[in-house]
Amino acid sequence: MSQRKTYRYKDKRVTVADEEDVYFEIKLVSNLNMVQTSVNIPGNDDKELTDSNRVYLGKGKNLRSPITVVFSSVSNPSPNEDEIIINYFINNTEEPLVHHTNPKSEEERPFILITIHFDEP
Amino acid sequence: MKNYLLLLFLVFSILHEASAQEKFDFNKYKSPSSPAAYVLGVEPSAILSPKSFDAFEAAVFSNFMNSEGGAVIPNDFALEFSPYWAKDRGLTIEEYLSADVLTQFKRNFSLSLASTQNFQLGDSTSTNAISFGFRTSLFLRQKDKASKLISDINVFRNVEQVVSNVMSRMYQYSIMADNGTAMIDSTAGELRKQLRNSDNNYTEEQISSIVDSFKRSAVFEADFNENYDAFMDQLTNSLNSTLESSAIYEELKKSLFDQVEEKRGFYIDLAFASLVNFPVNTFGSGTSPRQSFWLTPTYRFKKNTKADFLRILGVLRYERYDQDYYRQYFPNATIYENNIDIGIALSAEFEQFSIQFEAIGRNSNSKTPEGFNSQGDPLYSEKTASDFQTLGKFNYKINDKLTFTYTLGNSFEQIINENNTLVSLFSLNFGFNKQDPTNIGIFD
Repeated sequence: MSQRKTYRYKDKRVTVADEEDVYFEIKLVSNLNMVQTSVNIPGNDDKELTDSNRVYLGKGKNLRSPITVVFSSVSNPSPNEDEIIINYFINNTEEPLVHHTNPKSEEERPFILITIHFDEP
Repeated sequence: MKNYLLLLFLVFSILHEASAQEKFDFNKYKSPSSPAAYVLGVEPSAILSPKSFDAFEAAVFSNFMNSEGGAVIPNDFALEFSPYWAKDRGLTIEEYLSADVLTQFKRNFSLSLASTQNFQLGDSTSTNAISFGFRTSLFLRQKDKASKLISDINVFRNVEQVVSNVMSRMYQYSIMADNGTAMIDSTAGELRKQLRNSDNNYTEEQISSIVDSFKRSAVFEADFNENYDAFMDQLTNSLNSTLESSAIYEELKKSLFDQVEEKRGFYIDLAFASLVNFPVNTFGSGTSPRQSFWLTPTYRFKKNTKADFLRILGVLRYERYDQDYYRQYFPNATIYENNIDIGIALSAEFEQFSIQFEAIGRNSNSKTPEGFNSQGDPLYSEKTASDFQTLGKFNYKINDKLTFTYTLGNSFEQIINENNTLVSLFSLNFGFNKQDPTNIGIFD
């Protein structure tokens, strides 16, 4: 069985007010990635994203517990790319919540796991 | 004695075939992979391929500047750089496959640079020379093949989405779970649910088979409580393996690059290169005595159609030589100012044999100064030369190691007999070349 490597970004903390709208965004930086992402939030309204995309997660008060889980399955078949680079954002911040980068020599098809705590101000 | 003569004959045929092939090789009229190296007449030992603008800048500065900060021309230097791919664009696979002509031009555009300190003039003096060029290609992809590939990509993406959906929920569930068995059972349940919702439209029978397969494979070395991360990695990879994600991916990767590299349909290669020589090795003496331009259209018929064995290749090459330069530094060479080669090749490839026909016409002309008339106007005489080469080639594969080849035609140059350009050669190839012997090779 071929083993794909999982890259973990655990316990990321984001402060959001109760009535604040929370948006999640993934931006592909390197070329010819195929990325399927799932965002598991409290409740049944989980989100699916393909490649670069942006979704509304809900109000801050609905995202408190316990955690929000982001899981991406990434593949990059391009022989011209040496590195996989993907940025994850919450609410259009300038700096990404997670800046993922890995050399393809290390893993051509990584899994990316992010766990996020949405804290009260 | 008979065996000895047969061996001698075969060796003679092979050697003649090798040298004759070099002289009427159609490949030399096609767009070269490194236009700059071609006009410089060098075969560099390595070609630098920087993948970013910073790396390109570093490659140029580190090779063209000496330790005192002065400019130098490096020896045995070659570089190929694709500006479009030097920047991260977040391009998706679908965007890559659906590029219009202008976008393809930009994506396939590459700059080439080469230099040497051993560019020999007519009197064998070594001088510095540098050349630069560019190359690009345009491909009109077959719509039905692109559609099939997009469809395969969607199937793959749906499988990957199932993996992501299941695992995002399982990581959430793992907060409450207290043992590995509960994790595996919950994963099986979630897998069934996600397969039912998937756009791949699995049947209940398929879903049951996949879930059962997952349960059978879910025997992990790591303990959930003692080595949580390792357990979750094994769970993820067991799921990945059950869904055959890697097998589907490898097939997709192969299809993607078979289509890109095999190029069924119509495509055109364009290339240009220019040589700059410093005949007395000073910057002020620099001159550009040669420029070359190539246009190579090719058409391959669709696979699994009646004509899929057929390939058509056209070549157009224009070369310009500076007469004053060559008269001064190559006085014994016969050089024309303007040279055009136009040709066509047709190839038909079957399982056991292949046939190729190629024809190239050549026209060269130049003006030579012949003094001035009584009014002081310059006078010129015009020199022209033209020729035509046609060759037919037949290859028959006797077995995997042995191929019989016969070539018949009329070449530009005398090959065997003086004053006679007739080519009639047959040979046996003993499989030393790993390439498929029935592959003509001009379409590579």
